[in-house]
Amino acid sequence: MAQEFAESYAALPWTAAYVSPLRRAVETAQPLCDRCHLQMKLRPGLREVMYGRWEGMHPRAVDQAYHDEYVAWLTDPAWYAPVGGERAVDIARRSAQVLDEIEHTHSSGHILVVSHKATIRIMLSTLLGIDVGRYRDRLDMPVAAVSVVELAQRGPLFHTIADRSHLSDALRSLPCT
Amino acid sequence: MPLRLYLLRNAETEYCRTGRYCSRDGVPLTDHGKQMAEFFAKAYYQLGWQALFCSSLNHAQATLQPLVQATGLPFQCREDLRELGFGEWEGLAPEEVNARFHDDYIRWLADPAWNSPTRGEKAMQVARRSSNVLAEIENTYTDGNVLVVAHKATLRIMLCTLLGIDVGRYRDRLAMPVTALSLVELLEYGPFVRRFNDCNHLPLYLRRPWAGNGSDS
Repeated sequence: MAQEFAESYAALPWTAAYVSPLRRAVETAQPLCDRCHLQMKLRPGLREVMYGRWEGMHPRAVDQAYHDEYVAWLTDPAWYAPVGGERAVDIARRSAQVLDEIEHTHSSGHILVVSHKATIRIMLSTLLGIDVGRYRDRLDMPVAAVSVVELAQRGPLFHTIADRSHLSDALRSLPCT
Repeated sequence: MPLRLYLLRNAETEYCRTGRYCSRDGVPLTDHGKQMAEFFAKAYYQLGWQALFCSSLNHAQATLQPLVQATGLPFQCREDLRELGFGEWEGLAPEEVNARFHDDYIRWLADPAWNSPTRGEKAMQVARRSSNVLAEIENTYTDGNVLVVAHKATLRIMLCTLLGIDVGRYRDRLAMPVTALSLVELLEYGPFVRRFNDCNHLPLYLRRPWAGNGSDS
């Protein structure tokens, strides 16, 4: 998927790449950055939600072990954190600092941001003006999906959400969560 | 299987091509527009459609026509899916509107939810009438693929109401090239956007830059 993304998108004149320091984000960005001679700017603000004690657990196991907290989180993940983890408002704040840095550093150009399922959906919610607590219910974000947002004169203009046309049929049809 | 709403914008007309406001009936597709409609049908005729809904305007029906022919399915025409009425701006380019209706234009740009084009429709009115169709679809079908063919303003307003975005922001937050397809599933906890502005049914020469094809020209 990372290779196919690089093949489709290498032709764009990239200005910069901001990447979550988590290994899976770096590995996703690597092929494109190699081809385009881009140096990754690693930003902890782009990390995935920290799931605290739910880390690595299946939702069914979480539901059993932390039932009430799980139901509250499903209903409003903006202000309810996974036990010992982060609320969506926390992620909205740290990722907004990266968006802020990008806006202040670059006045134009193509900027790649490589991040994760929850973090990207939270960023898109803040850019669209959707309640951050709705990110899980309103937006899908399968692996290697690309969304294009132009920071236009009157704010963020969305061109695509969750586009996966750069993937071959075989990779696109793999099940993923 | 949930109820899946496929929202399709009309294919190209001379008004879209030249960037002029159009909400009137009797507008044909351009040659490129006809090709777009054909490519859409080719990519989607085998999907297994539960129902097809279409704006009453000619350019929406012409966009749907190849799919109707390929599938033999009937379609349901709804006035409430018409394009936002542009009133006295009909057929004009933004620069002409700015010169002739300056203050109305500035107000409309700033908040099209509650400010209408001169003697046209407010986005709030379009949100209300298009909601009638969404309610009808939800009340009639519990699952399956339902296609809704409508227009640039109408569909973006519908997406704002579905996503919970202020309707007054529809022009500034959402782009929508001709024949773009968006997929929204109506799930237990509300509308879930699977794809927004998918143009992969079109060959590259018919796509606008940015429509997910990695091009920059």
